[in-house]
Amino acid sequence: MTPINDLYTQLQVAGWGWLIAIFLWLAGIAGMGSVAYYWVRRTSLAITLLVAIILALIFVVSDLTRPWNVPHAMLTALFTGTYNWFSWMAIGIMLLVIQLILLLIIVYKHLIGHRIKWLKWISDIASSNIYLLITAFFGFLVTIYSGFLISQASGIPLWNTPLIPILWIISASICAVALVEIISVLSGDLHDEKLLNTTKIGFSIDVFELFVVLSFIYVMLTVGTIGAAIGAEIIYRGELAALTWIGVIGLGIIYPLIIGLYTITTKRHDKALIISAALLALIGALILRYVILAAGVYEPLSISGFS
Amino acid sequence: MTRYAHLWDAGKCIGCGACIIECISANHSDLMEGDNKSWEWVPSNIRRIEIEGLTPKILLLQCQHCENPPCVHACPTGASYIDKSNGLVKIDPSKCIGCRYCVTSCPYNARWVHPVTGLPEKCMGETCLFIVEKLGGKPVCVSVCPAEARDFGDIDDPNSSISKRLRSSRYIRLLENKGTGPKFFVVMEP
Repeated sequence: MTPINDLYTQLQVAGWGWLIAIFLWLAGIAGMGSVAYYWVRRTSLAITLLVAIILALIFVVSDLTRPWNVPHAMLTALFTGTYNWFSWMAIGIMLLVIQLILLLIIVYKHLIGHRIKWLKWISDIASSNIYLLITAFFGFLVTIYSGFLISQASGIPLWNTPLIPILWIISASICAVALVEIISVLSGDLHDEKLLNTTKIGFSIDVFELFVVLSFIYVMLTVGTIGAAIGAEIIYRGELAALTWIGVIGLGIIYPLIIGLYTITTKRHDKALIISAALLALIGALILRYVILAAGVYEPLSISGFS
Repeated sequence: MTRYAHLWDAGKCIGCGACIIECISANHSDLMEGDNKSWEWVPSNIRRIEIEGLTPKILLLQCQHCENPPCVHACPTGASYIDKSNGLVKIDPSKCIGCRYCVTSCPYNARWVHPVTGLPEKCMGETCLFIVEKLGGKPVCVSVCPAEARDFGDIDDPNSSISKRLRSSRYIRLLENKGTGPKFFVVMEP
């Protein structure tokens, strides 16, 4: 790598590290998990999604350097009309709160149901297909948002690509499938054929994710700016290479692919293997987010500032 | 309309660092013995970039007070904003939640995080703003420069010193291709 004397990582300057990676990961789980919930309407899945979105909010707030100022800043911004409705951060705050409320109502339906008679309309609404479609739609938007939040940060050229939101959707879809697999295996109440179908879906998305991850690295390395190329180089052969190749590709994609292929071809359901593959897919998705965050560097002005 | 801009003359700059030190002294005296961990640099709003094999040999970098600032577009609460009366990009600490989206959105890496307050700091600091807006003076980096390598003023006023210098100079603006409309003019060596 060419020595550049004004190379700054965003990790050093802005400090978006593991906390933000976990936030993005949880937002993706809650987001695409809400889409999966449309087909797999289980109590355990609904509770998991609600916990995921609550934790996502906790993680993102805990990453703020001025968290005590949030209530005052938000109220002031709203009342003085300066709240920036076009900022992806602001859009995300709204989407996360909406998704939290939507999931809260679904969990209410599962846990309370019709037991409180004057509130039984809530459970009725939460059981309707329209409501679940809206929840799935907002889940999709939350996932998309978590990608655009990164790709629109124009200081970090590695992130300024539409491949990031696409990658986030694919990776979050894998998380949703993994979650369904884990819940299905642990609850033991899914027919083998359904589990096989879930595995097939997971396998197809895994193949697609492998293609998109490698494409992302290749594209940023070859046609990105100098800053983007440096970031891609950090990912594929720099200090984050071990996390990329072992964590993201090896454990997060290849291992689940092998287990998926084994399950599909033999039609045998080794539950331990399926759970291990699902867990590693989830962990791989988290590492993917961290790697992309941590590899982000600013455009070196000593080289490209004068273009 | 007033449009304030900075000028830095690479040919005149002797690299003494007075502007950097004066910025700390005026705007960040609370951190005189502290660090700017974001840049691993002194707690100044100006950072110095060494350039090998190109002209100029050093580049002094700070907020470009862009006309289309990504940091302002990114800020969820409006804490980062353009002062429409003079075109300066400012921060309102009362509205800042410390998300640092402005920091990751600045293509110039012109913001750094205050280690105590968590505010994304940048040029111009409070003291410089006071001098410029209340006293009608120039920022401390300009007034302290022994080589007159720096200037500041209204580029919409044809009689301002910065406008006159720009008319007679060959200058560039950094990362113009990003569409940010920077108002930090780098006068190149003849």
